[in-house]
Amino acid sequence: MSESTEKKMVRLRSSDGEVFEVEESVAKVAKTLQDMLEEDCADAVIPITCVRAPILTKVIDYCKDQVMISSSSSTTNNPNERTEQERKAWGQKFMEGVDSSTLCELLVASNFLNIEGLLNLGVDKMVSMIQGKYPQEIRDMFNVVNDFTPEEEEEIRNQNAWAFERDPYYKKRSSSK
Amino acid sequence: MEEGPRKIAPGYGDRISSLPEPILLHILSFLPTKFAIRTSVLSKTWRHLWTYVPTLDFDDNEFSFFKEDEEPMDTKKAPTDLRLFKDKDRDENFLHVVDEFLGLRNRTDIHKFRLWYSGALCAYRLRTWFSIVKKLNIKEVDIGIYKKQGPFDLPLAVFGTKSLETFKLDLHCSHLRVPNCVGFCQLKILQLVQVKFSSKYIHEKFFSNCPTLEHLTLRLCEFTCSAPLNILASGLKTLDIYQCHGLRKSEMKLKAPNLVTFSYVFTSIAKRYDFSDLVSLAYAKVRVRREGRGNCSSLSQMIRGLHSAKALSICCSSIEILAAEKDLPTYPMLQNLERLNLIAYVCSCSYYLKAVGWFFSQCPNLNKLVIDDFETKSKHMGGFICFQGKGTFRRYIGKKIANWLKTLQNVPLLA
Repeated sequence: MSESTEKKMVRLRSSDGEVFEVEESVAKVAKTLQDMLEEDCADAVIPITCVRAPILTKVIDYCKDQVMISSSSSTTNNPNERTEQERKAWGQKFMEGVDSSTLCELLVASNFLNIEGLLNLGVDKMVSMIQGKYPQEIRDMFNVVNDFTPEEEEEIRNQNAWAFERDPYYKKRSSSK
Repeated sequence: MEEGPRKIAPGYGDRISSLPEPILLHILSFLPTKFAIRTSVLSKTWRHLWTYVPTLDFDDNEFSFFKEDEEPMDTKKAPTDLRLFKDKDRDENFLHVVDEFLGLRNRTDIHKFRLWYSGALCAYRLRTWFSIVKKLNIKEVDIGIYKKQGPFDLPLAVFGTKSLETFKLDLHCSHLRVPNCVGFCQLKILQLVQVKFSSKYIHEKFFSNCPTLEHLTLRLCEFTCSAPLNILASGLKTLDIYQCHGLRKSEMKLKAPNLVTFSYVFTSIAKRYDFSDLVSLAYAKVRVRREGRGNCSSLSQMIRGLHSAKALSICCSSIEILAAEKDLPTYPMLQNLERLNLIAYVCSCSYYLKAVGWFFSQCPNLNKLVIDDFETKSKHMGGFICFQGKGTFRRYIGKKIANWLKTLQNVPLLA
């Protein structure tokens, strides 16, 4: 493999045909791409078949930031909890305004590309969207079609009736991760 | 490259149900069991999904035992706690649900068990639960109570649970009672919050009986009856002591050759410190303050014990207490320190400046100084912190210290 000083670029093609050119270090944040690049089986354009262009843009944004963080963190030499807080705040900001269907696509993309950090951000967001909601609210939010008959649904509800009871004043608790 | 797991058409539709099952389970595993169960009526895809979730998470603040469409009890009083209209039946109902679930899931498929409860947990029930938990190959247990009660008995079965790696306990200022001579045999993470320790109820060697422990957190804990805090743990990597009280009359002993991070924040100064063997220590954080007319002459014992640290975060008031001690060693206490984070308070900077100057002479190998303004929003500190002029203050103290440093020649500082 050639060790050129110039930054090596990688080209990615989204499911709807758009081609993105990114630095190799950015692409390598995705473990799936890292494996491919290391095995040298990705010389032309890498097709990302299950990710649409707008989603891929968001994914690349995330990867770029990760590269930036890892390059700057080598200069600060101690594990400071403030950077942890900052990272959390950054994650929240990154996920702000992401709607439910984009979120699902992001989860699929980060799962497929094997980007753990992004997957966790997505899962956190999803948890906060579902927690404290009633079934119908979740269905409305994600366009889930109820394919139970009313009798079937009633029966399932009765199996664990307590879970469907009215929520007390619901206080969101902090993630216990 | 292969095709993605499922082709998703752009536009709208039920995207969440077509997510890969491992992701859905991952999402459900972060939800309280109540909300995981609710997904079972979303659609047929979701019918049994929650039963594969490897966590059980019950919080009785999430229980109301009123029908979804029933008139809310006290909408006007809503933000007040539900404890207002809580009765015995409700408690029993909650406990029954937990009983039933633990009984049902009597298989080896639960990784995490979380239980928060506002009533009194009787020892018998706890014992029963933990005898089940013991068989479940459980990795993490998180128990909390919302109400202060008599001594909380930790059942013996907890200690015998071989698979247990993480144990979190919040007792809301109740005493913890532990059988004599036991410890966690496989535990890696122990987090105790609002726990009261008394030598009457807990053996002083308790923390030393956890050979595999890597992370220990003590938050808002209280030590009564001069109970000593002895931590002799060979595997310990991080020790985090935050806002603990009552150490003034007791001793703290720490021996942890693998300790990397030590944090001692807003905690009273103990009568005596015996720190030894902290050879791996890299990062330490110390923030204490004067407590009444208390004896503060032991802080240097702690600082001397931290001599291996390469980075230290310390507040000005700690330095001031340290500098006021009478029997200080003649040699520099922090020979290995390279980086110093100084946490400064607005109201007291010039007052502390002399002490801070002295402190630099204790760190001959310092090559980086960072001055932080207070980073906390803690209300517990009362009038101790003044909230004003952050940036200006940083510049002010920075300038003062820089000026001061010019007068000193033997401190090679790149401030």
